[in-house]
Amino acid sequence: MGVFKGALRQVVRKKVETVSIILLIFIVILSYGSLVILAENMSDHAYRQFRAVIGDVAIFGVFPNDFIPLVKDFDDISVVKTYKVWFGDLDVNGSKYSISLTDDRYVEPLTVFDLNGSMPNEEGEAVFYYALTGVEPGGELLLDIGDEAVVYVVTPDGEERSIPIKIVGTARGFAHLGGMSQSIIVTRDVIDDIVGDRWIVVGVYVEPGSVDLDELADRLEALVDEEGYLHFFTLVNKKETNPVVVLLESASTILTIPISIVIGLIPLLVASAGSTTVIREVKIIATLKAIGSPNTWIFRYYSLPWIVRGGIGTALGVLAAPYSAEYIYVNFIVRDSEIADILISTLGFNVSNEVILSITTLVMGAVVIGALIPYAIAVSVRIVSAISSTGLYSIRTPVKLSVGGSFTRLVIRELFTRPWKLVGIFLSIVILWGAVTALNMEANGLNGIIDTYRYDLDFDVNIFVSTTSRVSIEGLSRQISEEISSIDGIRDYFMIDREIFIDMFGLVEVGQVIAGLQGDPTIAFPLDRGRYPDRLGEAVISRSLSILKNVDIGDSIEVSIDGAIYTLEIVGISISRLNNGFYLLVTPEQLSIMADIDEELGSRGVVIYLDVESDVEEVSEKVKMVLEENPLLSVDYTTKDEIIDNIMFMMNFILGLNAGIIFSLLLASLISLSSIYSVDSEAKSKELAIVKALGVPNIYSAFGGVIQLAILIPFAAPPSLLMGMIIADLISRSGATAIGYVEPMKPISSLLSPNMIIVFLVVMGIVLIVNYVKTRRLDVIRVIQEI
Amino acid sequence: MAGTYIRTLEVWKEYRIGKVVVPALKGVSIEIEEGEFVAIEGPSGSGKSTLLYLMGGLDKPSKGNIYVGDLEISSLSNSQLLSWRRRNVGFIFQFFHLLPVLTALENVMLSAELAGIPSSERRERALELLEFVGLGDKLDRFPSELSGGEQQRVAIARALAGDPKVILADEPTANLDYANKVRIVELLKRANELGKTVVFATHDHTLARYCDRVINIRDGVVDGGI
Repeated sequence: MGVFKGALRQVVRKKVETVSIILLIFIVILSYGSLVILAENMSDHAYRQFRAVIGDVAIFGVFPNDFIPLVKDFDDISVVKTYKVWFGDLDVNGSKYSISLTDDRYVEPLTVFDLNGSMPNEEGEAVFYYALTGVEPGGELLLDIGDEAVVYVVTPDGEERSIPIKIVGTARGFAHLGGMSQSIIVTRDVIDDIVGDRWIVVGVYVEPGSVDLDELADRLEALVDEEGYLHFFTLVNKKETNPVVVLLESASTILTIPISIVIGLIPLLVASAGSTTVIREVKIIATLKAIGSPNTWIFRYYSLPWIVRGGIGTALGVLAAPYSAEYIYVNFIVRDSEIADILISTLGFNVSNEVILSITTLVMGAVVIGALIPYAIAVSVRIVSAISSTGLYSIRTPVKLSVGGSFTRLVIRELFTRPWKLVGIFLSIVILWGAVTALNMEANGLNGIIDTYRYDLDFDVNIFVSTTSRVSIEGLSRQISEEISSIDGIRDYFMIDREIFIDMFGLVEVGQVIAGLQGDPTIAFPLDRGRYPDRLGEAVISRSLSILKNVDIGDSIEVSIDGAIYTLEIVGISISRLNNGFYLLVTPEQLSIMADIDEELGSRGVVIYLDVESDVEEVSEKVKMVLEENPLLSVDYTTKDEIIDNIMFMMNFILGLNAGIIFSLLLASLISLSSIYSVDSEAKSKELAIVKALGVPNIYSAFGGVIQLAILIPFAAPPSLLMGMIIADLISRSGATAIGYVEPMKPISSLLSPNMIIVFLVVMGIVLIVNYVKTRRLDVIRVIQEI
Repeated sequence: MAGTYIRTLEVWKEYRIGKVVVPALKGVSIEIEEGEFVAIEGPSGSGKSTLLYLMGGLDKPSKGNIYVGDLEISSLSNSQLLSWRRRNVGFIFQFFHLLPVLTALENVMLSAELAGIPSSERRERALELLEFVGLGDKLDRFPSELSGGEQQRVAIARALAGDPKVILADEPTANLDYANKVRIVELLKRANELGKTVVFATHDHTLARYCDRVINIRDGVVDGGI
């Protein structure tokens, strides 16, 4: 007990050390911990919402009623849920939109769902539903209560229908019903009339942890095959592979990686300030040792107080982080307070013990490592030389660096005589500089993407032509090609078969395989090197994927689709960034082999990249009008300028987050540096008093700290650049799943961006102020007269 | 003697220790002639160091006036005192207080630099002064590589580096053996012979014989002198 009492007394007495380390740890945990807790809750919410609707394994296809008892016969399945969902085109005043069509049975298990108006009761009534994550919040609704529209569908039996609807309610939620961001909820009669006495989704639930879900999915698929039912795809809902969860976790690393580096400041500050305290109290330590104090006493006075401070900072941070995480979630992620309320009241906002334990272990581990340095220095103090010294005591003989005048030498040698101060300052600079440089490299990379769109891709607009009917892609592309050739103002075009997804990183949602159908591929997929594929087994790979998978022309790459492995030889590298840059361009024949296209459910179609001679909007509208004359085709288009605007929006969003990260880093570095200088000023108060007595102005002494920083900055540049490159690569690779691979651009100029110069000026300004205040407040006579 | 150079008039100095105000000097009035070699003698806590620091402009009196030459230094601001101190006073401290990261030569050169001595002359002057104190062979030693007596001799050289008119030494011999004590006082005497006004505080009355005059101080009050 006495040991802690002594340590607590130190904590209370030495306010600068106490406040600075508590503040640093608090900021680190608040920023890092908030993001970790946020990511964990987002992942948990996403997973649980998925599970609420589709269960642990869901198979999508067309299943008669007879199939359900067979599934229920599985011993390990506890609950079976069945849904009817179909796909169609919504016609709103002549414009068509791909939607899913379902009824209240699908909506019922949604955990987060907010309805205005009422659910449909009579045939013809409908609710317009949109997924929050699929549309911009605050935008105008496609349909509102009272609106009328028509939905075109082709039934599983190939029959075309047009269904007039009147909107009686609007709803929003987190789930994508049937995988679509916009849905029409109709009465059971209407959907029954479309799909008949058959189910489209069968979701099964098992006791958590009791069954291997992949193995269960295989057994279900085998049953479907055995019975000869139409099967679209199977979704195994495991938290670690849930695509939304993985995307969220990837996105969160963009923030957590640079922030986590700040944790490195904790041991530095503790070691630096702690060892400075030891130097200041070297005679007390020598006296303690002389009277026979055990090393535990030294530990009590020079290490334990840091651990106590670290504990206080950690406790405060851990208490505050969940509130901060919840605030960010409600106001910046969900951005809809009603939905956020439902979300949190339904699913909670929890902090797991594992997260708290891991943050506490990480931070306290850093504190303990730092606290052992002053202990080691204190234990090594030589009793006789420390006690018998009457002048100003230097633990080690100074390094004889003879640069500049006497004052400059004083400043330089003083820096190199206090190794932990030197290390503390140097690494604080490197951590701050390296992280900011990494963020600059990422920003450069984002600019590079915009430049690619602006200057390397010739297309002006891409047009998505989709249909829910089963069509021959070959026939569709031929038809579109004929229609396009009849429209004036189109210079050139390239048409691709709309994607099939491949398992590229263990994630089906990430990689796409596309095939060129018609036109000039250089319009949308210009090559960096190599050639386009002209036979089976060949592929052009995107530059992003080639970097991430470390493959080049001549290499082979394996991709998996529904468990089947295909080997493709890389014959070219394309610089385009379709689907965040995760794609392979193959021949149509190769694509047909890799996927059974005709059995694909939902939106199917092609994408046309147009190189337009004149007004882009006018030509795009004309293409849309001509193609939509076919009632089964839905056409949507995005101009290159809109794509660039979207990237700019994302870039500004990321840069905004970066600014927040830089601010946190700056704050943490400032706390670290100012407390190192502040504690150091006290440790060398006698030197300061003497130079003051000799007539050195306070501002000169204060500038000493700035000179030290200025000396260290050039030496910090190489490690900062290296650190920046490593962090930028790490962010790019771990964030790739979420936002695509942003290839960091790493010119040396990334080191000296305007934001970094401002950061340096702020750091120097604060150090100058801290040193000036300390020197000015120094009681020269009291300090000089102290033995 | 060339007339009064340092004059204190009814100087009081009080320190606040917690809630208690402790007077260190209680109306001290003394005069020191230009070129005089004066010892201020008294026991520990008598106020002799405080008086020395006030005369050197390191602190300001609570009441009273201090004149050095024609200047009333007690009315100067802190920054004016700093500037004045740089050119007019050389300090020697009881615990030497050499800057540990500078060599003997550099410690002396720093003072010369602060006094505004041109850079071309600083090294020569520092060498001269270290020769003067008998340390011409230990120029590049750091303070930790010098004995106590040697460190104090470097401190004397440092005090002389700016060619000040006044040398103020606070217990310069307190931490030295007898041989070194004598050597230091003799050096101060030699500085005095060079025309410096030297005032040193001591509690050792055996050193009084080296001085022109001794001012005794007890409990913050001048208690006579010889």
